[in-house]
Amino acid sequence: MQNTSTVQEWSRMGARGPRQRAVRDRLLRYIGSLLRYAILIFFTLVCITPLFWVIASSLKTTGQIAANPLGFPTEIRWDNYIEAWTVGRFGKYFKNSVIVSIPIVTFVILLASLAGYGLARLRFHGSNFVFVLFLLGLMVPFQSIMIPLFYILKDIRFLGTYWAMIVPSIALGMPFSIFFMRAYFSGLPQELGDAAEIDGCNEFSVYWRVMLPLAGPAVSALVVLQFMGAWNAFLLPLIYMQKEEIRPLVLGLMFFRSRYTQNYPLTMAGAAIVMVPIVIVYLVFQRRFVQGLTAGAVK
Amino acid sequence: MSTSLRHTRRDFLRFSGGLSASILAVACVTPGADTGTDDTAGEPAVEKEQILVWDQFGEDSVGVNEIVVKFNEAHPEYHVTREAQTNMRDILKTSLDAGAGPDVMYYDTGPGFAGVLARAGLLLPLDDAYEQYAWNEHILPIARERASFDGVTYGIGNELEIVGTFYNERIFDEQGLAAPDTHDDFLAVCEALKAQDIIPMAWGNQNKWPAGHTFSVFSGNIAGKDNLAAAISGELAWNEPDFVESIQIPFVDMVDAGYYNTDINAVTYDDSNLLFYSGQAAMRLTGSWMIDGYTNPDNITDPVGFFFYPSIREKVIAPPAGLGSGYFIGRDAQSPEGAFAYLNFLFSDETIGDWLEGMAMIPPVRLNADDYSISDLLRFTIIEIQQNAESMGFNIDVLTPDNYNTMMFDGFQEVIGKVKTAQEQADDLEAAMQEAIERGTVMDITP
Amino acid sequence: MTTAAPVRWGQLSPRAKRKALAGWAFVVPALLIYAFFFIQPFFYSIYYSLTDWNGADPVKQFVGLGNYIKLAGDSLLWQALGHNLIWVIIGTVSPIAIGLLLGVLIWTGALGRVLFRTIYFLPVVLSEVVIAIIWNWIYHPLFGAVNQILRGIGLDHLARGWLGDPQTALLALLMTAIWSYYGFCFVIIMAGLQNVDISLVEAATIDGANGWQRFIHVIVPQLSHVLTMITAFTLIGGFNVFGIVFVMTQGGPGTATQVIATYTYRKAFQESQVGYGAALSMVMTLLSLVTSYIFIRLRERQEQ
Repeated sequence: MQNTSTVQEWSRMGARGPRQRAVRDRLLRYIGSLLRYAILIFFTLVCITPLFWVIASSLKTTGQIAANPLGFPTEIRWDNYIEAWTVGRFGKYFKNSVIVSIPIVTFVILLASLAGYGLARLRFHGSNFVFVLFLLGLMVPFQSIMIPLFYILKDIRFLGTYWAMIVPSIALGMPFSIFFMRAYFSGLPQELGDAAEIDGCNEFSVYWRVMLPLAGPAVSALVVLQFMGAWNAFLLPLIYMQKEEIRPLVLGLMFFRSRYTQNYPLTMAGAAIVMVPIVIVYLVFQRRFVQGLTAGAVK
Repeated sequence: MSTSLRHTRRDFLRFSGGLSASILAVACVTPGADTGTDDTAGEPAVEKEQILVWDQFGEDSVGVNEIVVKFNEAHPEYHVTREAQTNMRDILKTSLDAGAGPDVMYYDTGPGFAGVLARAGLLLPLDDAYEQYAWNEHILPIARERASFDGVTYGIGNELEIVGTFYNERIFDEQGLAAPDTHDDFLAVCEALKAQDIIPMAWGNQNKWPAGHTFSVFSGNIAGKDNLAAAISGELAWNEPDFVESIQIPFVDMVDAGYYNTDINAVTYDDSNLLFYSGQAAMRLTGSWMIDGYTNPDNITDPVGFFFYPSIREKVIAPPAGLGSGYFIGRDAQSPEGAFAYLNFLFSDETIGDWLEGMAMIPPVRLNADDYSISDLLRFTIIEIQQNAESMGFNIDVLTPDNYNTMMFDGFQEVIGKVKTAQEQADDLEAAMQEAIERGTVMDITP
Repeated sequence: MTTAAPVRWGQLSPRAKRKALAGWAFVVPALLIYAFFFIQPFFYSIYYSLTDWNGADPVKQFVGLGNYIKLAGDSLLWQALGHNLIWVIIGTVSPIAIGLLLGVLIWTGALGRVLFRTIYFLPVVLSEVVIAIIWNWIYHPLFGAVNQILRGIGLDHLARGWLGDPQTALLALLMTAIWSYYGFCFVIIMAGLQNVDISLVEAATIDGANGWQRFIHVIVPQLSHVLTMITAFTLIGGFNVFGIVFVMTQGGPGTATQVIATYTYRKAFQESQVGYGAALSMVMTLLSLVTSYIFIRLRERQEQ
């Protein structure tokens, strides 16, 4: 509601005489809101036109692409999707992505919420040091550790297995997730845990039975965020997940594109196959996405 | 990224059909039987020794799949699985390093590619295998020389190839043009085509490596075979005037004259072939590995002719010839014996026909072109290589070290993009060569 | 760090002891995996950067600061850093400006804010590889939308191979990055705007401030928290940018879009110069740490 009043304030500027003011006011408001929506809609189109164009291209034949690259497909060719799915082995890559994403998300949440809880609610010797150690991880990019990590993973024989992606991703997810969970647990009223403790719960059951359920919103924001990170990861699997059988979807797409450089509709179908699931997940859990990604930013 | 794409395109070209051809709907629906990379493909018996092969032929390459099937039938104790890898240059080294690599790989020969792996200790020496299987007897010596580094042999070079000019005979006939005999004639042909709004030459250099072939052609024809060999071996400076001119003519003068399509650096190799297939462009300066693509009616229905790039200022031409890729065995191969057997099988008499007829590729063995049913273009190539090998030049990139190639590929894009002059590029090439000499990665190819 | 209880272990009550032990128990699993897969490789990076190693030899030859001295004279590194600099400047200012514009337009009263937010945010959830493929297609010299549209409206002379021309390639990549990112800035700015005190805006209006003045003097200062935070975030992202460049141009044409992350990848994983690659990765680390440090100081100052 307060926004409407702002609009009025906004458009009142520069007005002079009482009658002119009324006319000018209305005119200005009209032009203002026309301009406002023009800009908003322009950027909406900027966002979605490329995506529609990918879908449109993916439903064409190569001949249609050459004849009319911009237009809508004259006859819809779903075969591109079937073909991309089979010859592109997206089914397998899809499965790989699921296989790595689930443990990554699960363990990041579990470990980070445990640690976040410990750091927030159980003051102990060195807890500040530990927290700073994790915070430092927020400032160090993956590129800083990617080279030795390759040889570490090689030495422990993780390379060429799903572990090569799962375990490092969990470690890389720790700093932000712990920071995030700690902030959330710190914000919960102290009395809650105390009451449960008096009822005879030990530390773990306070965390498990009382605190974690209360942290539901934070956990779900984190789930979505971590899932997106794992699903979209590129550099990490590029270096550690080269074996064909274990490639996740995004990497599979990159290799697929270089196998079929000439078949643009097929490449676009491949891109759409990778894009659509995450877009659907996003549309369903939009609010969580936005929460997860903006969390911490406005704290 | 660079050379590794070279070998697969013919497969997906055949696979996808040309954009321009409206019949391609037919061509692009046939995904082809799976090649054994699928989980479900014929699970071998447990006691078989597994051999994983990475190559660059494309998943549905009929010819190579045929060879694999034949080998598996003939050698029940082994089971070969092949995987097509197009990004080999990006991933091969790390995969081998990680122990997640293939047992046998088909990779570019030369110090810039296989040489890097050999020096990192990732390849298995094959000198004993050459003895054991008497490969020297029927495999051409060059196939061994090019796959040897610091006196040790690591592989068998394959794919004898030449580089020259393919042209659309229909367009030439319609315009009353003939294959040119001199560089000046060639320029006149370009001028005539340009006047008719036909792109004289299609050239896509987005992938960077095609420029290496262009440079190989011109430096062979201008500097001559011996000087080029000396420069590759680090014994003649790359900023000699002949090499500067070999950069200036194709990368500056002919670009400025409008003899290529626009946006050379943005057009991919495959897209430049499309321009040729669709008749928008009349010529392509590239290698014999494209014969399969250029004789495939799914791609192009016009007849395609070939001539070596003609003489410049009456000098003797030295068209690039050499080996494309070669087979190598990983240091950690699970079954070295099986890998040897597979290599032996690849170049035995029974597979020559598969290479020639199935893939339009010339294996490095003694053969008679008339024994096989192949296109005239391929026959011409074989005969040229057999009869004139002595006078032919070189594909530079498969003979030069990796830092030189990086410099060469990046630099040519910059010359085309007008941020660097021919002289500067020549100076940089020489500097890269000096650096390689210091590091000891130069291959000596002088006789 | 300094707030840890000054009491010694022996002086603690049994309950405090139990809590402290429990605290460690909660933290240890995360700490172990983090130490092994993050802290350990970090120190190894420093060590590798002081050696000349090809990734295969059993011996890593110690060369002291040799790699760093070589870095100083490596013109490609400086060129790459220059590209990163352009990237962080344009790639930070533009999406934040767009985000601010859209944020204020919606905040000052527009219908359909959830719809707009949903759409603006959409590109943010896509993988870099998908984004790169989409934009490669848009920039395609023959069939790409950009050139098609230019030719369609008679501006043929402007059509070009956007990613193949050294003059335009980096900017073309930046456009892609901005496209994929302004929705993120928008959403964060929207969240920040929720906390802006509307009465201050109204007061400024009464004092006769025009729209621009109100924006600059009233709204932006109240958003400073959020703005410093996205700036830091975007800067760090800009110094580490990899995927879009790697997939779209591989650093080309020539070296026109080579950035430090792609250069590091090439040295370490394609050219077997692991020691040198590690030194390059340390440059990235340094840039990120410095940016973070400045950001933290700024925040501290804001909080005072």
